[in-house]
Amino acid sequence: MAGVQEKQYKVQKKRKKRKRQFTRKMQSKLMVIFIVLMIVLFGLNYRLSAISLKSGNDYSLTVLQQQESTSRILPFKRGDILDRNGATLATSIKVYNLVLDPKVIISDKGKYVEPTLQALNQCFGYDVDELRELVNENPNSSYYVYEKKLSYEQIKEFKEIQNDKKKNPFIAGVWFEEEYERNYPFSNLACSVVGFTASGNVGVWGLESYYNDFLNGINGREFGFVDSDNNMETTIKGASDGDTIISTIDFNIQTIVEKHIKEYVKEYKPENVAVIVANPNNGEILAMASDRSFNLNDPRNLEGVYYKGKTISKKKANKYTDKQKMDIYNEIWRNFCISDTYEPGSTFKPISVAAALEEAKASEEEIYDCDGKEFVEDWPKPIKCHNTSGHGKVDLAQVLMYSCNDGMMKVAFNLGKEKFSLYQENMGFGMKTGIDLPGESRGVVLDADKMSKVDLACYSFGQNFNATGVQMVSAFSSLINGGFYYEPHVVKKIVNANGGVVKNVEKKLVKQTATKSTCEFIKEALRRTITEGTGSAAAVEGYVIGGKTGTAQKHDKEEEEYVLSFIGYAPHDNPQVVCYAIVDTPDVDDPSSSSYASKLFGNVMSEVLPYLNIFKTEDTDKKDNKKEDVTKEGGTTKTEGTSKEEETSSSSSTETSTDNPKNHDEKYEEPPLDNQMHSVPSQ
Amino acid sequence: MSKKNNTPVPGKKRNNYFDYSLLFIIIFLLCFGFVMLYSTSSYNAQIKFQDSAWYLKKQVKATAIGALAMAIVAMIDYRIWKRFAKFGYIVSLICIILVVTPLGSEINGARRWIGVGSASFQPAELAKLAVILFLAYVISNSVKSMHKFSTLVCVVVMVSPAIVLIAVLTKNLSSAIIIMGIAIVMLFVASPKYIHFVAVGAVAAVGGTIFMLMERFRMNRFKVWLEPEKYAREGGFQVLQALYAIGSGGIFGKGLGQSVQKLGFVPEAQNDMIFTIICEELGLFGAVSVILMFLFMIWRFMVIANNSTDLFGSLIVVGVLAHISIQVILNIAVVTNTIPNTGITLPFISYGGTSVLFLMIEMGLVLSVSRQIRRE
Repeated sequence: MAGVQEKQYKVQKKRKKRKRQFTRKMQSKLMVIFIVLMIVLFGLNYRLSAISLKSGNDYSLTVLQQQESTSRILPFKRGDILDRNGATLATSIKVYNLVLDPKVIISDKGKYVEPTLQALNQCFGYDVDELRELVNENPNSSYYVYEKKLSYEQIKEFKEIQNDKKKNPFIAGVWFEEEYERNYPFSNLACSVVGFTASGNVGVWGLESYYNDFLNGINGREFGFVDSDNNMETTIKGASDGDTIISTIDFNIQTIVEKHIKEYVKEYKPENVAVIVANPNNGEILAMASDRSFNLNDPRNLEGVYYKGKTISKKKANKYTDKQKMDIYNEIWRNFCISDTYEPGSTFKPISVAAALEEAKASEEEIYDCDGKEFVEDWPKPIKCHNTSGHGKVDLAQVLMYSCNDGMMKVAFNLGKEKFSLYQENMGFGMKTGIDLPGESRGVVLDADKMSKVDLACYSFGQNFNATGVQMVSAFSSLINGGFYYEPHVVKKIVNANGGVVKNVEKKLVKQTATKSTCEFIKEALRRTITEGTGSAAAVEGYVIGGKTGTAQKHDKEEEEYVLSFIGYAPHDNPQVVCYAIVDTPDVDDPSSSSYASKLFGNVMSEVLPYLNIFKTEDTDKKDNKKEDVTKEGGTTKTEGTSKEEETSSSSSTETSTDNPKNHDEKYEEPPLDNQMHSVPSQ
Repeated sequence: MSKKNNTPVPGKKRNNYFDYSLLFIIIFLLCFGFVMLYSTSSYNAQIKFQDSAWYLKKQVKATAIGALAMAIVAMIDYRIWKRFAKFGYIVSLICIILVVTPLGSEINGARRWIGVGSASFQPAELAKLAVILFLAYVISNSVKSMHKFSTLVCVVVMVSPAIVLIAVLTKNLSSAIIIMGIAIVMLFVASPKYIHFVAVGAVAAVGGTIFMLMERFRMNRFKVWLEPEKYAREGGFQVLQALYAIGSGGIFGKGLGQSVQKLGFVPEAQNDMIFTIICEELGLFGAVSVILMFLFMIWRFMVIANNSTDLFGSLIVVGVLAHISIQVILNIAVVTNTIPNTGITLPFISYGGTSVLFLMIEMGLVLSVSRQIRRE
């Protein structure tokens, strides 16, 4: 090139005189331009390098993230909740959101608009004009959710039309987004146990909340990319569905229980009713229900909900303020059986007796003289037995059978508060049982060093401290199964989406609470309670069962209000099922008669036992005879008149009796405390 | 000057110089452009037209016509165009005006085209060629008085109709800037003085700075330039995506065809933003190589201009040099967000039929000038 230039230069020199020539001056100025351009281009090179080196990593990441956002999420299916026999209590159903893509619909000079809108109108009945307006107003939108949660049946027709490209080539810009919706086929059944979810996959109560991590799976993804031939390829990383929870709850037993609770509420209008049915040999809860009921499919709808003795009307439901609504939600969503505490009353007595027997502070032969009342030191008034005239001389079994408070107090004083407290704790009172449900309460129990003698006296027959239903069931179960305290649980098994076992919940022995001989004695006494003692109302025809009544006065009320209860088991020889019925303040003439709880127990058990294939061992006629015998022999029958006299005679104590002379109902002496939870008498 | 005077005397040694280096760069850039255009546009083309080679086919067609035109122009003695310089300039002005008449057509919301269907073209591209020829003609005729400032002003006034019409009628500011740039470079080279340009440059710089300081918060273009993240909806999105593409390419890039930003993130990647995809797929290495190719091309222009037998030819080459270099610099400066966004294509590589056709004609002119260089 240099040679050419030199030659050219010579040529230029030769033609110096030619005027219109590219002069050396011009050449030098062109060189200036070239140098400037070179500098600028190098400057741009520098700029490129700077971008690449300074922000390269960040930008690469951003680019990848953008890619990801173009991929589609494939939702996982949340696991089901099944009852112990496989009935579905909660499941997730695939639903479809109809998404419009106006940008596509109006593309290609609008040739898609009419066919698409007509098809939508035909299949879903949407208004064509409204759709047209919507499409025209959002010409740049590619994602407009027009309707949510359509079922497959609803979209089937449209999908067929859409896929038939030959007949309908111009349907475009409509697609369906998959989603899962939580569904509870039995609506209200076991609502407080099963619980519900918020926004589909967040368990907020019950099993849904406790086992949320198992129930939820992992979302899948559909990645789109362009291959070397420019075809849109998709790779699918499938969603892994959540695990299925198999509960210990038995759908049939739960249904029986809820049916009877409903009937009971209708008849007696109590403040609360609750029933727990459990297997005493492994801690499995078979049914757990209270009168608080709500629709799991719509937990926030208050219309038709039974609350404080009334069914909420639609009008009223709309009127509530948010705070009022929250209060009602908290009330109706509560699981009474594990969250609410109350004084268990005489159903606690077997536990006190077991403790005394274990420590040899009482014996089967020992005779207690019940004079109807007991004076406790530092306490001005006597603590009375429900039979104020006294049971006379009773042995230890009869203390339980007749639910004698006087005898019970004597047993407790022999045992002493330290030992008593130790056994109470060992039986799981004052601490959580560890049941696999959220919201469990510990109850309120004083330590031995804070207990007064009055406390000890009242504790012995289940007053002055608070317990939960599930605590009572667990402790009672351990006494009738030979002394083994199993952790109560409502989940039996967890299996993954393919049916493989993730977790098998075996019975979990927490501790030994009593020896076998003690348990045998208690069982026998409880059997006789039904046949000869206070629990005759609970008798189930054809079965030998055992159980204990309970009547506890509520301290925090001015009027005399009672929590009635009955806890029992069946069959006597080989206990297969424990049932605990709690009734809070039924609206009856004689609110302290435990027969109102015993009846509920009897009703439930008379259906549950046949269902569980537990055969009748007693001849029906024979049993009737027995029952009559009991009535005659019992000797604890009280007339209504007496009880009323007693009530009026002692203002600070409660004396009640049954209005049904056929039933042997327990009554007990109530210490005159205002609120044992807050102020313990210490004089 | 007539063609007759400069034709070699018959029987004498034939002129056989031809700038093959320049031809090679042109062919290289065109082929490289096809590869990159296909890589960049195939996804969009597939989606829009169900034909991944849609853009490539159109570009190849335009380039084929352009190559034919280049060959013809290269054969013809460039001095013949002196006669048509004025006429061509006026025709180009008329064409620009035609844009606003029913003959004009609108594509992508911009009214910059005349003609119908595949026979349509952008008058602005024609104007660039016409202005180069026209200025070469005017300046070579009045070279004696080029030292006077008044001559400079006079020449500027002569081209200002093209600049104003393009800026106002077609709202194509970038083409107007390019024509202005071409004129300034040609005048700068032709004028024996520096002082005029330094003075004008200083005034322009001061005025431009004041304008920018006043307008920076008002005009979208400046807002987007300064804070692309904040004004993503006003156009910052495009700039940001361009930066992401450049940044994610690294030193050697993701490999040809591996860009992900072209999959709908960099809008209309085959047009102004094609350089970002080059950066992403071929990395800094590829980007710098492309810039060096353009630098080599500009150097060839300089050599041809220096050795041209007459001033008219030299000035044509200088004009073409100015045109190519301004477009390259502005395009790369825009995609790196060094200057505010103006729609400028990358010569030979970006998609655009009119652009490539007229670029090829300009190349034909330069090659024609190079053919007149005598070896002796």
